Amino acid sequence: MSDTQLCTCVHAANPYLPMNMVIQRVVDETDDRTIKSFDLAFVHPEDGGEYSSRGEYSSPRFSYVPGQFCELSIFGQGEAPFGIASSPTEKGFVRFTVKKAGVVTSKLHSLKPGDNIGLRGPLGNHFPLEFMRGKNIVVIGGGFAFTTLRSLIVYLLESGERDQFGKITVIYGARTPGLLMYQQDLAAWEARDDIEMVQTIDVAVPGWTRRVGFVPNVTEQVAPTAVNSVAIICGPPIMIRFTLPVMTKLGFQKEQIYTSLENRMKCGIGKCGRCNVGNKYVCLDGPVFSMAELAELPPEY
Amino acid sequence: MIAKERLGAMLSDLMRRYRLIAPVQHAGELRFSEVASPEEVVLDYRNTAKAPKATFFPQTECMMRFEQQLDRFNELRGVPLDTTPTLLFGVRPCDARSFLLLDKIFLGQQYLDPYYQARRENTLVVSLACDHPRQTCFCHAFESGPYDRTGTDILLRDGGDVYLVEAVSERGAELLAGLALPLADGAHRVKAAEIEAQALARLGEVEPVKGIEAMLALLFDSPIWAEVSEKCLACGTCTYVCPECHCFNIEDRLLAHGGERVRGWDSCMYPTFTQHASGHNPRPDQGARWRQRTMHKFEYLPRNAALYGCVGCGRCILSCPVRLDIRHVLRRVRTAYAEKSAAKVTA
Repeated sequence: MSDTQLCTCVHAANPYLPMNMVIQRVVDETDDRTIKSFDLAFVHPEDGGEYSSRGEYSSPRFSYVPGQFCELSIFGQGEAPFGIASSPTEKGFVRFTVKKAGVVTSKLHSLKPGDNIGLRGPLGNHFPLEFMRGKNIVVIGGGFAFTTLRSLIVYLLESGERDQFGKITVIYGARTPGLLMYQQDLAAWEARDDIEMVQTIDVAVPGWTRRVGFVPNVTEQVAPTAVNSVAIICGPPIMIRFTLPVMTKLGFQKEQIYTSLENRMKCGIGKCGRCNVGNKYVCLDGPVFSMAELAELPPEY
Repeated sequence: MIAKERLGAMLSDLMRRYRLIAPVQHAGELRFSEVASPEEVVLDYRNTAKAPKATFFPQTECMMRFEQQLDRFNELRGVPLDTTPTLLFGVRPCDARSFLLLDKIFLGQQYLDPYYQARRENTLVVSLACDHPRQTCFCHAFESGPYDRTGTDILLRDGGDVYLVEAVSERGAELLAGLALPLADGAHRVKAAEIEAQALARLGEVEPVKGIEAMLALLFDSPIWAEVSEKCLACGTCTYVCPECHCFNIEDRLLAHGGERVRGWDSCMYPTFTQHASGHNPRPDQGARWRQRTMHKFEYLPRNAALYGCVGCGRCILSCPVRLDIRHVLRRVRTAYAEKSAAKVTA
């Protein structure tokens, strides 16, 4: 389902060998400090270039498309996959937003600007930009799953191709205001007139003037049109489970709805046999899948 | 052909050019190992306990090293790849056939595995036809058999006091040309045909595997998975002895002044194989894991690679501590499919 030239920019001869990155910036995204964003830069500028898996160099440098992920290496602890949170339009850094959950992420959370980590990527497929052209875009995100959605939204607004897409509606919900990520971006987008921003939290708190309610309910209230639209939905399984019937009620077909799956990964390149859903590998055939594609796969995720 | 008593001399000669890997006795077990002298080679055997996949895909291997400077880790360095010219000698046809799938996984698709590639490209495979299939053998369920030539460079066939030597690939033909062996005479060819007929006669009845993928496609929600896996201990032995199992783990190890990243065999039979850091596990019980093992080998791989993930060597059946028999699992798949089809008709 890839429509643009997929960059298979992993290390020239060895797709397991990470590129050396330096952490430029670390920022807490949530008030409980369990989620941080890391901006990374290439230690060796030539790594920003693009090598195919067969070793052929081509430009542009480290080129990725919203929706793709990378495997980040914490030397000595291991590797884990993370969706790319920055847009390819943002130059000079690659951003990952990481929730502290296990061995690798705990160590990463303890690192500071100037520390080195490894990066392999970009990996996986991406959001279906060609399919999305000429259509209205509905972006629905819940909690921590907003990372690659940020990449997509920034790309849609900043790539110089805004006029090639229709109305953009973003519905983003979290449990509390402090758990909404990318607050600066959200504020900037709210101020724009070429994107409709709907933020919501689960339960009303003093000082919150925007909507209150779970994402599925808010989606039903906002009622984005299904006509000539594509929906991208990323969030916890329970959010997706209750949002899908709303989308169906609004008239969205399975082919119009996309999501991004996650699974435990190791190699990230379709060899270690771990991340499959049915006969598809999340790292290779995904992580982006349409609901129509998922309907063909066993519900094992 | 080559007289069996002259095989040692031929191997000695070849060992000047190749690292020889062949079946040897080691601590009471027959396994594929690097050979120091041809006397160690055992050819009068049924099959080894573990498959020879370790020749290309070792049980553990270091993929890269990183250095520690002060309290920071820097720079990953690749490790030298293993390009030693190698002769993998005396594998059974089922094992030779298994390399086709491993090649598709590690060499095909979008990314090339350099560790596997280095070993594979520099290895010549000489297989030994199987003259005594075991009760647990079911290679013939895969439109194959004990004399299959798929996946090998040279096939040896027992001809009594000789081995008939047959080039199967171009590389095999090249090697053979250099050996200047005498052509097999009529008497030995007749003897070899006799031995082959005896071997085929030993094969038991088995249902062909072809078509099972279509049945499995309908059985994801079937209760048979809990049923067939009930006695499974999740020990993972089946995945370790299997020629086709290729799932692996990647782990970092800390050493003095740095560390290394190591790849090692892993098993879908283990509970944490697919467990997320959040604690969520898409395959939370052994039934789900057995379903994955079966589907992967008999539905997903046929769909993705046009190859089954099983060659019928029967090692899993022999090694399983509770004698879980994959042939019985496949039989249960067929009966479940028949039950489901019948139910559809009557409903």
